[in-house]
Amino acid sequence: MKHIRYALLLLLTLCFLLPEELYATETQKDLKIQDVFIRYGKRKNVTMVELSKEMLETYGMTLYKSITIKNDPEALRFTRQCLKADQNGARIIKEITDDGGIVSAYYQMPGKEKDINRFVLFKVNTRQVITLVYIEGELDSDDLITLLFTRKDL
Amino acid sequence: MKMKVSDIDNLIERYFEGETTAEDERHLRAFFASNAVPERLSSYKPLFAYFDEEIQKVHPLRLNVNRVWQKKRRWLYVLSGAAAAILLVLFLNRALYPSDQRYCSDNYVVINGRCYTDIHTVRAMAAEALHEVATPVDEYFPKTDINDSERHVVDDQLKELGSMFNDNETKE
Repeated sequence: MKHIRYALLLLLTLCFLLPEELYATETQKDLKIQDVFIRYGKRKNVTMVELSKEMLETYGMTLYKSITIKNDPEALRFTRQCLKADQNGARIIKEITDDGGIVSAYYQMPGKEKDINRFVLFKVNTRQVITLVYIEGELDSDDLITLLFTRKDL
Repeated sequence: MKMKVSDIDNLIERYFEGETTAEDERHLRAFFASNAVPERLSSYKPLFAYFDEEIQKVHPLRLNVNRVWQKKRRWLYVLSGAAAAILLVLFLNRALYPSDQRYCSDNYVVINGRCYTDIHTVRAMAAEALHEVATPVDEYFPKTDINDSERHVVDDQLKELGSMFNDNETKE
């Protein structure tokens, strides 16, 4: 009887845990770069931003995420690996490499939903500061370029 | 274990006093089932034979019940083990690769592991990151690394890429 109670308790705990895990898998989407946010987001010398729906409506975005990592060669290597993995099926808007390593890139990722575009922007500057941006929304690549080069504030 | 007749006498006496243990009674039954029963004790033989027979009837049932319980218990152990293993995997997964959670609110900035929700700070940091990725390529290459002609090549390539991109857009 005791064992049955223990087993039931464990199963009950699992039932509470599983939906969250499944949800977590869902929100991690299908992109490897999400791992950069997860792995480095809370570390020292890192700034991570997330803005969602209401704050972004004006720009046709539904999600904005960015991460800036300073002085971390391992993070640069990992980010580049993730970008390489995500390049499959992505539309390369811009990509600049130096010594075989990507230093600046804009990718349009294949959308999961109709009318929702996803963009990944990346840059590593001369001071080895990595900036990675993920944008999701109805905006198209023209809107994005306009947003980037008109230097509007979000 | 072979028992002396005197021991048996003693056991029988204790048996009728109700002082024997299960082990003692097993010895008694085994003794009376054997051919070594003296004539003077033969009157007890049918009694212990009967008890032995009854116990044999009850035992298989008890054995079956025990077997079923053992099987159930084994399954419970297996299930509990599996559940514990899944929990462990989930725990480790969460510990090593925390889910893409919203740290403190829907809109936030995490700086050096500390979360801030002040919307002006969040917006400012978001804009800063966006401006950083938007800075032109000549702001990436240090002046010493690249000469003017190389910079022109890069700029030309970028312009070409841009025009290809625009063509694609109009075709779509």
